[in-house]
Amino acid sequence: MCNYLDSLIKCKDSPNDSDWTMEFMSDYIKGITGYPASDFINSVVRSYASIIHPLDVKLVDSSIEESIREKRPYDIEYRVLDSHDGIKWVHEKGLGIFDGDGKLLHLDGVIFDVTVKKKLEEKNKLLADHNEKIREALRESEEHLRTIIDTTPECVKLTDADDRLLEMNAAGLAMIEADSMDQVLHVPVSDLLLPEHREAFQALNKSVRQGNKGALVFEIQGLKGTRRWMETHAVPMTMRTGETVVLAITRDITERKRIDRMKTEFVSTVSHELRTPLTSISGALGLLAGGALGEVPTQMKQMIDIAYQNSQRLTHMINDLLDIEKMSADKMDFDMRTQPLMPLIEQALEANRLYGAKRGVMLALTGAAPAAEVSVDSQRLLQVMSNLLSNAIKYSPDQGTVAIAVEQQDAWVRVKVIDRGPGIPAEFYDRIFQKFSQADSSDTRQKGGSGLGLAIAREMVERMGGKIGFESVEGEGATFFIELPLRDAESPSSIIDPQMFHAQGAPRVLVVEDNEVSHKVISAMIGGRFDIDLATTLSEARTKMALERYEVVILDITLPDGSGWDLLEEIHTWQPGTRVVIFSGTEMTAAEARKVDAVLLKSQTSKEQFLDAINSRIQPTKIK
Amino acid sequence: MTSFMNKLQRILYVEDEPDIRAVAKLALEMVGGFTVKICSSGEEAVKEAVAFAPDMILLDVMMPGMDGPSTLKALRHG
Repeated sequence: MCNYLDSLIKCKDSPNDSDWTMEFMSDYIKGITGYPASDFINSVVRSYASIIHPLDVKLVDSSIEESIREKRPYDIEYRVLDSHDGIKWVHEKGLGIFDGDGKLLHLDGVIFDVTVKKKLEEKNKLLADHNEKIREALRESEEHLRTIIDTTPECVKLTDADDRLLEMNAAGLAMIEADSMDQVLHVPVSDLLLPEHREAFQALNKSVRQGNKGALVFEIQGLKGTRRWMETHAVPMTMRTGETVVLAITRDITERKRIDRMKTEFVSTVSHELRTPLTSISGALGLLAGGALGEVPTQMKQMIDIAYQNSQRLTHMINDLLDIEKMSADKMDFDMRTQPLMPLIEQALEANRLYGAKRGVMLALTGAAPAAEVSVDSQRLLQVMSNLLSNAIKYSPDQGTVAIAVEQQDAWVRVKVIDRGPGIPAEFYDRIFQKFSQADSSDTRQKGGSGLGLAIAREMVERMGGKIGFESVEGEGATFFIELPLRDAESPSSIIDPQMFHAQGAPRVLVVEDNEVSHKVISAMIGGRFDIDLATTLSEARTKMALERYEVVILDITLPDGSGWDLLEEIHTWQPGTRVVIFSGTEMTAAEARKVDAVLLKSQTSKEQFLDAINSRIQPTKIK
Repeated sequence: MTSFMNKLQRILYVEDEPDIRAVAKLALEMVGGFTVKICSSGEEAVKEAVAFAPDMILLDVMMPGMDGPSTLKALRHG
């Protein structure tokens, strides 16, 4: 009967015996409690009940009493205190043994040590509780994050390696006019962009996936057709799978753009409106001052001169204001032509000599580069030079000299304008090319000017591919310089010269394209067979179409003053029946391709394909 | 330049702004010594151009009704 794993017990038949006096107990109890079984039998040394954990006594008593009352086995787990006052968990199973009259004789039972199992259970329970708490905290934190993302007014989205949409918040879905995420899941995001922005957008995402941060402004068309201007900031995010996706926060800046445009239009409208009466005033005063209406008394002449000079100053400022607004709205056209530089410099000197002479300031050309050829808009370059020269004269001492030096370097030509004026204070260096900036605000009245001259000069030089800068030692004068890239007279870029494009009597082709490399590519493919006309901007194309008839229009999409698509309707109106061929760096959608006669990709078009696209309707003339 | 100047005598001037018209007319006639025909709109210029037979047309760009470019287009096609 003895079992070394469990302690067999036999209790006396005394339901009211609260000591659970043992009639028999196997020695295994010593392994559990540290007390020998003989201690408990007949409660010689201690009763078994005395070592039951005080908190469990009730449970043990009531379970066994209930088992006896209902005459069925009991099965309980409880704690006992061992000889070292340690706690042991035991599992006791047993049943009452009754005589024929149903009187309880004694209890037979068995006690197991389950301390290890219990401790493990407790530990597991603690661990489970702890895990649950962590999960709860995570759930809560994710919920907070989700609420933040869902209520933020910015679009938050994730896109995969193919720019396809993985996730987008409510604000984003509203911006692209999607009713649910399901509608746009895995849709390529660039499909939502206007075609002219796609190339830049894909380039941004590529760079972000390589680990960089980036930002971009572009225009989208929502699923229901609404156009919006967006400003996006994107960062790479590595997923658990190892895939790097793009996380982008995008803001709707349509309103900001609209206000910007309103501001620009306002300034431009006001300036135009101001210029009209001003033209009459300075024209009338000019005639009077020039003596066109006869001699006037000396004092009256003096007053007329003052009025005339100031009306001219005002005209100058308004023109500056219009220029700067035109440039910030990207509406200024540059008629870039390859030409010798020196004649332009001489012309700028001539134009400013008189202004210098008034104060005895001489203009001296101290260095020339007779061979230098540059690709510039001559009027704009003259304007830049005039700005630099008039500044230098303005700040020169009376009877001083302004030196102009042209230096040819490897790939650049540098034009320096050197004055011996007060120089530029160091604290003004940062702001010198900013709009409305002058070194000293009290200067404005003393020297005149709008504070826009250098800002305009910089913008124009940069738009012509050049750089502008200055050197100055305060008290010793300033040197302003511009650097322009040299055009090698023998390089193919001189092909830009429109003269080279004309094949007399050949079908006329209008190429609307701002990229010089593409000009060369096109002229190499079809030059000689067709009479090619170039327009580098939409507005230039409009002017040309108003004056000439073309059989083919080859159209780039990304142009400095807008999208080639904008021109499509006008081509059909002004040039009915003309073949329209898109020559673009980005791929078109099928719907877009259907709007035109042919679509050619810049990187993937052979001469044969190009000729095919143009030729399918017209016959080129063979020039011998 | 000289041959151009010798030939240039008759100027058709198109301008909608009366004050600028007056100043320009005075300048062209008194200072320049040209024969000037003034038109105050593009439409008027298209009507008058053939009869006046100008050596040069001076054309304002921004005008109500027909603007400069459309006037130029109409003159070329007319």
